[in-house]
Amino acid sequence: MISISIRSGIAKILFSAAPFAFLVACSSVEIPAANQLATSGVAASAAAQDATETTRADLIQVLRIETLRSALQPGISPPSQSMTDSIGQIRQQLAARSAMFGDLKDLYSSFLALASYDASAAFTSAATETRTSINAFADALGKASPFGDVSGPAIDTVAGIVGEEIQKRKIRSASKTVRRAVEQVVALLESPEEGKAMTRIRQAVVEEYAEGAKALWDAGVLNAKDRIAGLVRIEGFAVVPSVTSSDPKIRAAIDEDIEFALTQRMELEEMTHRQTIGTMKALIDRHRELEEEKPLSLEQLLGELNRLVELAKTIKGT
Amino acid sequence: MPASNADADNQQAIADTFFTLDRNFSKLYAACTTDAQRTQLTALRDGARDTFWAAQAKNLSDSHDVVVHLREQLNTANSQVAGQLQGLVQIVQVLTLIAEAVKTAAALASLAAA
Repeated sequence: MISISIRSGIAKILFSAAPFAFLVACSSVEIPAANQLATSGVAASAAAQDATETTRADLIQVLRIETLRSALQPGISPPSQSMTDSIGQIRQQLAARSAMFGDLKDLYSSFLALASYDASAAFTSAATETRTSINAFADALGKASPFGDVSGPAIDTVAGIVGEEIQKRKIRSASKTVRRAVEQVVALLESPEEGKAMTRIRQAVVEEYAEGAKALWDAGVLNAKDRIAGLVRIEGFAVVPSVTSSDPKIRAAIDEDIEFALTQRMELEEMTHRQTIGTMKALIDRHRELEEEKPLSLEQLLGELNRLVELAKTIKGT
Repeated sequence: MPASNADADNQQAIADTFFTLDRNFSKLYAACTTDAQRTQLTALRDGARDTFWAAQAKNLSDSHDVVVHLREQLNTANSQVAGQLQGLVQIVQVLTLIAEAVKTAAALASLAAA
């Protein structure tokens, strides 16, 4: 993992344009573009980690909702030890996913440092950490480890060249290391093992939220005023202060609305999964451009990244 | 979290048992006429819930003939339960069908574990 001092160093460098002017002038690798790529990688990894942590937190909510339901609904038992243990295991598997994105974020941070000053040691250490956590995530999915040697070279050693040429070569070499890690992450995220397992976990969470909401409605402690108010857009009308009812027709309508809201939530999570993959693929393409010393198409990457960040924020808030 | 096609199919059948029971639990509980029926219903939901969550944490990718047969049995039981829930006239009959589904789900979760 990258240290706090390196992170604060990165922050200072990010807001200082002066060093870039010199570096751009003497290297065909565009340093500001490499910085932008690294910054985007940090943000994309952070958003993907956030979304995973939201699902991990949702599993705790499942236990809370079951406990709540056991107090409200006749015949419902509190979570058993078996259920609690199973959810603990699933959360551990998700922790491997989260750690992988966390280490990828650190790898991008050290790539950013490398693009700005000589941070080879920090980059090599971050590459080892990331490869280790990608292997751990593959293991959690029951797949073979993509990286045989996690501590293999992360930056080519160069001899006989000096100054900015070393800097340029290091960035290109480090870019390949990061790209290979991201390619493995994408391969794991696109595997049917990952997609189907995540869909099932999300479905289970959504079902629990739905049943919990219905139990709260039946207990008379769920007020649908705010949700219904969103449907009334006619001047002069206002929803009554408290919308609760034991009328079977109202209950049926609320059931339908809960199902609708939670189906949307499922779709949102699926979109986030697809957007994570899309953003990671855009990062891979930009790395290739950097390695081939072509201009980076950053606009497309930033578009993908913004969509991912927005989706991750929306999920966190729903 | 691991999965394959067999795993996904097995997991879905087990999930259907629990979700169908859970979504209709209040209706079923209200239809019970004795304490024994209510106790049985609670025990069946507890069993279905534990089986469901245990299955989520496992890889159920074994596709041996016995496993495939069990899954088919479970899908049939799930369909019968869903059919009985439409009218919900005979609670004793529904409880018997649910018990069969929950028992089959537990057997499937155990045998399909790779």
